[in-house]
This record gives sequence, C-alpha cells and structure tokens, in this order.
Amino acid sequence: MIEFKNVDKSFKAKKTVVKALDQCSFKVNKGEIFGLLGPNGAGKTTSLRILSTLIKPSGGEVSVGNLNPVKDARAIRKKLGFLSSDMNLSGNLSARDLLTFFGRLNHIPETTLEKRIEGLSTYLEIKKFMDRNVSTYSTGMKQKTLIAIALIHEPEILIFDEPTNGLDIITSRLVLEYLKDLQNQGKTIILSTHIMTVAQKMCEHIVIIDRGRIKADGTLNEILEETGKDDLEDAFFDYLEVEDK
Amino acid sequence: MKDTLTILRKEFYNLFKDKRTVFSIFVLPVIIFIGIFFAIGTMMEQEEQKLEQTVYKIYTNEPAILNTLKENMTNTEIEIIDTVENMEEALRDGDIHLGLIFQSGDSFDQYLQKDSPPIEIYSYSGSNTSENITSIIRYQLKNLRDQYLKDKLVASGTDPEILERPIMKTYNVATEKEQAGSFLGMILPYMLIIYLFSSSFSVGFDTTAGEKERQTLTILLSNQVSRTSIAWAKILYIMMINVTTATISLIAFTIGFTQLMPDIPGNILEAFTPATVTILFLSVISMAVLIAAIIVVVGIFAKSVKEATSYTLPIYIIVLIVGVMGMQPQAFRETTNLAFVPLINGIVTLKQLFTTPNLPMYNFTMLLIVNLAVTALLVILASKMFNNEKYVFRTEN
Repeated sequence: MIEFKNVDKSFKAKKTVVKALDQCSFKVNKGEIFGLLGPNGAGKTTSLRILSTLIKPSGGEVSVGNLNPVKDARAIRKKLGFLSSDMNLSGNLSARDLLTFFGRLNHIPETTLEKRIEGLSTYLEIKKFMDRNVSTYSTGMKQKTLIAIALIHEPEILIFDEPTNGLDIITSRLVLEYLKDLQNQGKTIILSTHIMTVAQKMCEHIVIIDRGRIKADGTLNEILEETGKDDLEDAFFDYLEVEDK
Repeated sequence: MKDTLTILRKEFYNLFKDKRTVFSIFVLPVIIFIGIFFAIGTMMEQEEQKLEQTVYKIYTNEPAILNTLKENMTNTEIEIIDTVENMEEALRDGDIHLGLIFQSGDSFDQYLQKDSPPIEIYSYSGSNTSENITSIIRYQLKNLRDQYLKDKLVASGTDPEILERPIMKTYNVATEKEQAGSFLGMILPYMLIIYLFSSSFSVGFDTTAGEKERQTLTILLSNQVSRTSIAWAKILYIMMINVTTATISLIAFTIGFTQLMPDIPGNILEAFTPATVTILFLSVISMAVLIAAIIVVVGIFAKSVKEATSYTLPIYIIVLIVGVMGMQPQAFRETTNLAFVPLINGIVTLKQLFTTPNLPMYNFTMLLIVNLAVTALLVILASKMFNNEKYVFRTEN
C-alpha cells in the first residue's frame, strides 16, 4: 500500500515560498487504478515526483510498500515504473537501444531482457519502428516507447503523470487500454490527469487536489453522491467552486 | 561500477551513431591542423620565393653611393628611383621600398667622420619587402664601413685581420632533445588546455545541461541506478572524449608542424622518453578528469547548455591566460605554490617536464594528489546535485 500522510511541499521561488502541497493525505490500495485529479498547478506532478523519489517532501510522511522515499529511494525506484509528461526521448538511439539500456540498468539478465523487449514491443505495437532513431518518432511513438521503458523491469507500481498528453484520440485510447490490461496483471496504477472522462472511465479510487490541498477522496460513486452530480466533471467543478466561494 | 559502465557504453553508442559529431570531434582537428600548417608552410615558401624575385625600388639622392653598395649585392635586384613627390606616400603605396637620403654629398667617407650627419633610411614596416631591403642596406652600409677600415689599416701597415678578432665560438650545450623540449614546454600546456576544455564544452554540456533541456534526464533518474554511478559515468565519458580529442589534436599538430613547417627547433620526437611520456599521460588524465568533473557539476547546475557555457568561460579564460604566460621561456621553471592550484598545476608541471633537466616529481605528485582530491569532491557534489530537485528540475522550460 502507498500512503501520503499530512505531506507538505514548498518551493523557493526567488523571494517567495510557493506551497505546492499542504497537509495532503491519501492512500492507494494494491492493485487499484488510482486517479489523482486536479487543474494545472494543483500539485499532481509534485505528489507523483515525491512518490517516485525524484523530489523530497518538506514535511509529513510518505510510504511506498512500507519503504520511505527519502531513506529507501533506490529500493522504491526498483518497484516503480514512472512516466511523466515532462519526459522526452531524443538522441541517436532507437527504442530497442533504449529498452536494452534501461533493462541492463535494472540488472535484467540478457536472455530475459531479449524476451521482455520482444514481449513489450509486440504488446505495445512498437515493433515496426523500434529500430529507428527515436528522433524520428511521432509523439505517440515516443509515448509508447516511454511506457515500454517504464515497464521493462516489470514494476509492481506504475505512476503515469498525464499519460495521454499530446496524444491523438486513437493513441490515447490505446494507452488507456494498456493501463486497464496492466491492472488486470496485478499492477497498482497511479494515474494523474486533468481529463475527467479518462478518470471516470479508468479509476476506481479518485482524489481531487487543488492548490495543494485534497478536496475529495473516494470512489467515483462516493464523489458523485457527495456532490449530487451526474458526472465527474460537474462534481470536479463543484469541489473547485466550493473553495472559490 | 556495473551501472557506470552501462551508462558509459550507452553514451558512447549514442555518440558514435551521430556521424557529424564524430567527424567534428575526431576528424576535424586533424584536417584543421594539417590544413593550417600546410597553408602556413606554403605561404612562407611563396614569400621566400617572392622575395628572391623581387626588384627592390630604392629612392636615393646619391645614386653613386647606392651603386657602390649594389656591387656587393649579388642576389638582390635593385632599381634606383631618382624622383619621388612624397616619400612617405610612395613608401605606403609601394611605389618605392626604401628611401636613402645622404645629407653631405656622394662621398661615403664623409659619413664616417666625427660629427658627420646621419644617413637617413626611410622604410615602411607594414611591408615585408620594405623590411627586407632595409636590413640588406643596413648590412651593406656596415660592410662598406668595414672595407674602408680595412683599407686604412693596410695603408698604416696594420694587419686588417684585427677586424675579425676576437674570434667567438658559441657552444649551445642544449641537446637536440632539450631544444625540442623547450619548444614543447612552451606550446604543449597551452594546446592541451584548449583541447581538454573545448571538447568538454560540446560533449560535456550536451550530456548534462543538454539532457535537462531535452527532458531526457528524468527517465534515467527515475530508475534504480545510483546518482554516484550517473555522476561517474558522465565524468568518465567526458574525460575519455577530452583525452582522445587532445591526443588526436596533438598528434595532428606534431605531424603538421614537423612535416609541413620549415625551420623547426630540434627533433620534437627526441623529447619523448618513456619517463616523460608516462608523466605526460598521467598529468593529462588527471587534468582531463578534473575538467570533466567541473563540466558535470556546472552542467547539472545550469538551466541550459548556453548558461553552462557562460559559467565555464571565465574558468577557461583564466587557465588559458596562465597557458599563455607559460609560453614565456623562463615562466614556471621553479617550484612554487602554483602546484597546489588545480589545473594551473598541470600547466606548470608540463612546462617543467620539458624544460628542466630533471623530472618534476614534486610538482607531478602534487598535481595528482590535488587534482584527484578535487575531482573526488566534485563527484560527491555532482551525485548530491543529481539527487537534488533544485538542480535536476532547474530548467528554462
């Protein structure tokens, strides 16, 4: 289980201090698709970066399967596959080169690695272009390659920050199908998005965050019930409006 | 260590797949050096040939004296010009190459008397031809004076050989190896610094600040690899490129200089003994690894390649100035506290390596200790920076 308990995160920006997270608490259960929703600048990416050990919390407690992201960063990263909207692929390598590289970094034996690359390339339909230089890829091809990189070491937990950003409708649908499929394989998936239809369709457990604070935490039905709305988008605005009033 | 090698292998694989970068790092310096020395050598030869074929135009108010001088100038063609409107303009425009004015008539003897007026020589230092004929004429005037003295000595019954006395024999005790070493001591530290830094700027910042800019670093950081492994891999990668580029450039320089340039001092290869090569190699490695560590730290700190370059330029310029100072023959020949200054100690050690009779073991030891200690500190700093969000996510995006 993943737990965020009263987590704070502040950033210094010149002479001011920006509070990105303010006493945030939530739990993610094993095997669920967890949706972290919020507008731009709400604190979604900051939360996910803390979980993936890229940044440290300013206060509060975080645990990922009983491990502490500050003390046990490498052990946590071993369990995680991370895909963020601010990741990119460039250089002269191909998807196959990159998958081999990250596989080796994760100490996967060569024979196992070859099988995994074969399996992932078939599963994510990247075989056709996987020997081409990544700089020639479209956004969708890059996103599929990044997903393959995140999955190469067969992590238990997948953190996907805005995975459909910049993708066309067909590739977006494919990516979401992969996520459902991965859940069926027993993975825990943390998904951050500002697209409500995606969250409504995918997530069993939803947390709405705005300006660094948790506004709602529950299942889709619980959230709709609490706000008396018919769909998640209306409920989402309801939570934001309550704050504005 | 395994992770470091994995990252290192990937960096090289990425580099070698980019043919343009490979060309600019490994092939271009060779073409440039060979091309430069070929051009300089050809120009010098052409200049010599041109001077041999030149007809020097000299304006003089006393052609008789100039004709006397001409008698001793077998290989120099001279055309006497007897009128010019404005001598300065004529010299600048190349209408004449020299102006020779005699104030007291056409007898050369008068100019050897006490209180005699000077012979005025007008030249234009912006022209090689003018400079060349000026030195020829000055030499011939002195020759004429010596001839006059010889005649006087003969007339007075004195042996004119006295003018050839005392006989002076100069012995340069510097061996060919030492002569070459003196030249290498001047040029080598300066050249090495240029090449160790210049390849770092392109490759080094591309793999650090460039990766931040292109948003490719986060993928690596979100993997289980340790930050120290990343820091070492980047440093070793930059260092290997630095050393390779510097070595290729030096070989190209040596070939170009020795094969295509006339009048080089000594046989340069004589200066390379097993001991000097070992010390040179280890010194260069210690400097290269230190420069790579500086580049990695600056590259992680900077928001972009542009910013990283601007931070490093002052360090580069300071080291370069010291390199230029090292080109003075007497500079850095004695052991000083500069042995404790990172990078500068490399210039001092290499200078001493080739210009002093004994191997600079004290400076060399200090160079290794200081440079490697500073590098170790920079590696620790770099791995901490790779782990610090303040630097990793510090971009212009």
